[in-house]
Amino acid sequence: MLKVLWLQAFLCLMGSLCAQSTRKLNIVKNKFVDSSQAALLKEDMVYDLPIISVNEGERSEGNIPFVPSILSAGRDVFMSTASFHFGVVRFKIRGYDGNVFSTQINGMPMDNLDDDNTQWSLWSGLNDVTKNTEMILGIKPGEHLFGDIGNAVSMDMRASKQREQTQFSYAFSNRSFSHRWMYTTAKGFNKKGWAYSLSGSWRSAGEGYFPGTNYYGGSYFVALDKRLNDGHLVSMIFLGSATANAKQGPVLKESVALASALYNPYWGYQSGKKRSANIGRSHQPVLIITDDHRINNNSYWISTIGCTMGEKSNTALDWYKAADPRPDYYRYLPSYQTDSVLRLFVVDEMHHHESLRQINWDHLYTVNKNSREALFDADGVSGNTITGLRSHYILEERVVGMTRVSINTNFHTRLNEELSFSGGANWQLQQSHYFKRMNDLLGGDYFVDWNQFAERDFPNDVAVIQNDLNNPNRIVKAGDIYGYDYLVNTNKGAAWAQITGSRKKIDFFAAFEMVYTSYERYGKMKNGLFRFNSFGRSTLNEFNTYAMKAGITYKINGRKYLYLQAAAFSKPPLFDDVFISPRTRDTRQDIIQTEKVKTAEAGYVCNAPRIKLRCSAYITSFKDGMNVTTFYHDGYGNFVNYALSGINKLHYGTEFGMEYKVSNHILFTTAASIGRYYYNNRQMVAVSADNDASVLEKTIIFSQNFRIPGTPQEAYGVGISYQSAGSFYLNVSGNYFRQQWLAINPLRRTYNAVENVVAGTEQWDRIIHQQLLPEQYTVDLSAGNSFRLKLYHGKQKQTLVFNLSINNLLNKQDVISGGYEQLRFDTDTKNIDKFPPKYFYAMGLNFSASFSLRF
Amino acid sequence: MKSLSGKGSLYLSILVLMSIQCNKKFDTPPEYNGPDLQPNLSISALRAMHFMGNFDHIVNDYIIEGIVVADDSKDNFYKSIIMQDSTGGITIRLDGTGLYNDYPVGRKLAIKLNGLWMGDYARMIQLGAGVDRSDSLFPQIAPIPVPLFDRFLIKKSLQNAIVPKTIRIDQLNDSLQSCLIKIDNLEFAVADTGKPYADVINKLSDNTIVKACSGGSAYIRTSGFARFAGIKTPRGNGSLTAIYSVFKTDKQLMIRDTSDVQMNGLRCTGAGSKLLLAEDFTNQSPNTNLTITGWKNIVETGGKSFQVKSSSNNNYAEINAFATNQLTVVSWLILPPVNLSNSANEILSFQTKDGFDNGGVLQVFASTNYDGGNTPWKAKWTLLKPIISKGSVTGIASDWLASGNISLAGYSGSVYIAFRYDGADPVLAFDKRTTTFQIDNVRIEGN
Repeated sequence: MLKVLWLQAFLCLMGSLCAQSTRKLNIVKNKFVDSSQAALLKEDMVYDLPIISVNEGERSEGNIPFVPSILSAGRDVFMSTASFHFGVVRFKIRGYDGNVFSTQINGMPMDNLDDDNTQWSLWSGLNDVTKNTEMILGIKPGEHLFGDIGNAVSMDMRASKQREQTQFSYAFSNRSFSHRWMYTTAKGFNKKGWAYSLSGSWRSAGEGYFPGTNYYGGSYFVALDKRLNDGHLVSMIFLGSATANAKQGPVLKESVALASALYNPYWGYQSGKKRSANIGRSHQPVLIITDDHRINNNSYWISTIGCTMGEKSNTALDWYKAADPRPDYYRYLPSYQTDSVLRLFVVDEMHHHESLRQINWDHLYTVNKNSREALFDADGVSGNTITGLRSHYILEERVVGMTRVSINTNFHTRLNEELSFSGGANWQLQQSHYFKRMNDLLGGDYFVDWNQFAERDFPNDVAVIQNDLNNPNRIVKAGDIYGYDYLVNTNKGAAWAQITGSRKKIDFFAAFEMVYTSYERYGKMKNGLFRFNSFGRSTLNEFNTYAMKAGITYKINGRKYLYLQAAAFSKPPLFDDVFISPRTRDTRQDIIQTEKVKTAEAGYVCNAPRIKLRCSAYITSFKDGMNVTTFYHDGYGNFVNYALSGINKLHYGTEFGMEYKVSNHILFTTAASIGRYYYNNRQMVAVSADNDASVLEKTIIFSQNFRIPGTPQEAYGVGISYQSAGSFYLNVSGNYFRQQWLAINPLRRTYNAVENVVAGTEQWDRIIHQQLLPEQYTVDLSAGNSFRLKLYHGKQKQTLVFNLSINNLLNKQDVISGGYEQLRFDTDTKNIDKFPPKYFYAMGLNFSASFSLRF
Repeated sequence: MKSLSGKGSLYLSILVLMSIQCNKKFDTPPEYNGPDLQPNLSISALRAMHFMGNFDHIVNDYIIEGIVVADDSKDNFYKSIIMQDSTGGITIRLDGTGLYNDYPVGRKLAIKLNGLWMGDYARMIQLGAGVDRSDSLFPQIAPIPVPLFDRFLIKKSLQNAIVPKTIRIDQLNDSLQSCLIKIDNLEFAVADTGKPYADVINKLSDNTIVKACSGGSAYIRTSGFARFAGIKTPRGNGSLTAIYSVFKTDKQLMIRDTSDVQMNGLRCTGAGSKLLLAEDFTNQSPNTNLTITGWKNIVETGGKSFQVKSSSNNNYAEINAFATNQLTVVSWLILPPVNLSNSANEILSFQTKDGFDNGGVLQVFASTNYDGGNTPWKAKWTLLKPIISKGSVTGIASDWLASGNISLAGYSGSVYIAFRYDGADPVLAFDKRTTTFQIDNVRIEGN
């Protein structure tokens, strides 16, 4: 019955979506709403785009829903045109979060079990060996994996699957890196059945596009294949990417007005040199061993065992009994001055003195060098007094150490002329170690492992102020763990089966998956405030979830197809969305439930020689989602957690992609994605603080019909490519984006927020309305050529390839690629401008020029 | 040749030694002292320009210089520092926290006044960057915004010595506003002793009253956010170092930390009391040797201990030498040590009865060097002078006799009080000194 309804809804949509979308919007506009969506404020990480942390205090990896590269877009005309056109902004396919996309390498799942996001950073820089990629669109069936509702990317990095050649390339760019050198070589099977491939790259920038963002990254890749006689191909790959990059911070419009759209609050001068406080580091090498057993012409069996181990960290300034060192702290900005004369005075001063807009490192050192203080009973030893320079400003490093072991097996066989069977099972164990490490004492001698927020609240209690009661008054030196220290132990097992069939007029598939997930927190510190529920093992959280999907394709003829498919998933909540404040204790959300996802999609595909086209419509609903967002609230003077529950979302829309061959040399491409992504219910939020067991606030969020942020909901692109008879090509494209919304602060859509405000007044509207970001357009260009020539004597000719790509050719500097309302709201004054939104600005004109030599 | 090489090696070793001895020091940059800006105005001259209730915009290139005498390190001063030169002091309002990292007590500071405003908050003169008229009835001086600190405040050397001016409480007047002053012979009013400086739970400021022995009082005002707000005020008498401030006509003293309050002496008057020890033997079993935790019941000679007795439902300690047949009976009853560090004007009191008095003696002693062991006679004891019952020859005295208030104020630290009985019960009829003594309601109080 439900399915029928879905189908109906779907068919209606198909017919009327374009016409309806504007009307629908108007209806919604008249309702006031509220919402959540601190959830999307996660770190984004895209190849070659700057890595940006949005969520204050956020630790999770990130969210790259978009296709990794144009090459993996495969043969789908929408994906290839969309990835080419929409790569400029943070376009998310169908508005989905990164955790509904999945990726595997040589059969090994590569999603981080803590947040379900693909860890692109694991192999960043290895562009040469990640080209052998298959993309399974949405819920379409894949031979190697069950997938999720988003696209599934399956990479084959085995040595024997790499193109047999040696390539050296160099790229010059003004994006996150300036220089990139890559070297890759691959050698096919020799007589003894061995094949190998090697790749390495080095990327660097003294300063990327944004000021104070340097970048250093080295990547390596080793692959070895051995073909055995009995149909086995055994492969080993080992890869890693070590990067350190200074980040670009989100900015206030006020700061941009004082400086420029290039403003980056994360750096400052130290002894005349630019230094960044927010440096991301990552190195998590991966080892994968695969056995590919071709049983016969109809069947194969691939088994993989893999391991990922390494560390990822972010640095940030922290301070103890001292003024906030961040230059864009709201109390330092002109808008904090209520007196207009003073405000102008501050504007003038900040505008003319860059040092006031950036971190003043020399000052931080001076403060630390003047802070000779004694600590009594140091390291918990009675009578042990330490005297020295106690750092008041420090550089902390939030570290996630990760170890994941995966075993995966996957079987595929053709049952008969019509039917094929695929199935698989996998088991993954992941231990993530979250802790804070002292990166730099900034000229001081020591720091003490105290909870300064507790120290303020309980000034005379020497026990509750301890971050770790097992090691009271611990002296912290550079490199020491302090603050918080806990493990997340996750187990995940899954098994799936799939039947695909192909008849004369009809293709069909059906698949089913069962997943067991469990996780727990294991605290390694006994927090003074939560001495009974911070140390040791938490309750084990266990979930059994399922997923099923089915679809049918009607083949009108060999070129035209109609398809219809649907899926239902249940998904366990993520650790981070269940544990409210894992840094201090093992408290969980009150109600823990799985998220239910349903999706349906129908489309028309045409693959004619001159025209390739796909048009499809989809509808997806998410029900009972959960989310925990953490940020520093200086009103509470504490890290505050918003635990959201009952998040329902509805996404629907159409996708259209077309390539039209105007002539043999000219190709016209266009793509459009028109969607509407809503929170379609009222969520619940429970606000609590890291240092306080009680719930500070628990309330309904009037979030119905608020828009899901983080992506333009409408994107359009048009492009023309010229391909000469030789190998020269030129591409020019124009893109247009609209309906991108600011991520909202849930607390502004509560009863409390508008209490005593007259409904319908401007103030009321300003508090609850969600901000629509400006429409954007960009023009991009790419061109390239290649030559075959003989650079030196020998049998072979070499190929020299040149490529140039320029994005944002018009150098528009005011392109906002995303943003969020700050999670603070002053409920006393109800002035939303006290904590105004923060934005990310896209790069102005940016380019990459490369040449490669292949032989 | 040989001698040459011998000489050579000698020189060489001297050189090596010298070079080891004379390790060159690493170069270090000079401490930041700021530009050498010289003051051209004294703080008292600046203050003299102010008319109470007005806001004065300073448009001349005046520079004042002084030393920071109070900062926000203990959070009693909030968003302000106090600076003083030889002529007077002034409060500077700064719109930041953690100011003491840059402007700690002892920091020499020059202020470029041009562009700043001077005003008063309930007659307390302040410097700031503007006038906040958001409440039109009560305009206030607006603090200097953080980005403007370095424009007006020039940091100079650190750790300059500050000597507070010692005055009498009746000398407090407006010219001492924002000055660090010291007043001797002060004590907290009885009702304000032993209570927190402010309400640390609700973070509310509070006033406590200090009085001088010679008369006159002032408020100590403490913020509820002060890190020492929960510490209790002392009971003694002594000196107070504080910043003088006013609120309308109230004279307020603000301390920077509890170390500014040195009140360990005796109070002017004995008002208020604090019980340091009390024992009425109610919880002891009658007709046994007295054993109370912490007490010592020691026989020096004669084998007679203090005992617990009961009469009319009242327990007490008792001793006599009767029927011991000993030439000397000496016994000690020693109270647990009493710590006098946290109180003043301590007094000892107890009650006694005597019976069948024939010359036995009960004496009371105090000692600060008794080791708590079983040989109290080896310690140095000072005889105290209580009133002790005597002369009841034919029976037990009918009424308890109060000892009177015996001052222990001359002692400090940990002190022992001992009752020492000295009697005799020789076989011969003369020189029997077997007097019975009963002791009850032993108390030590202080304030």
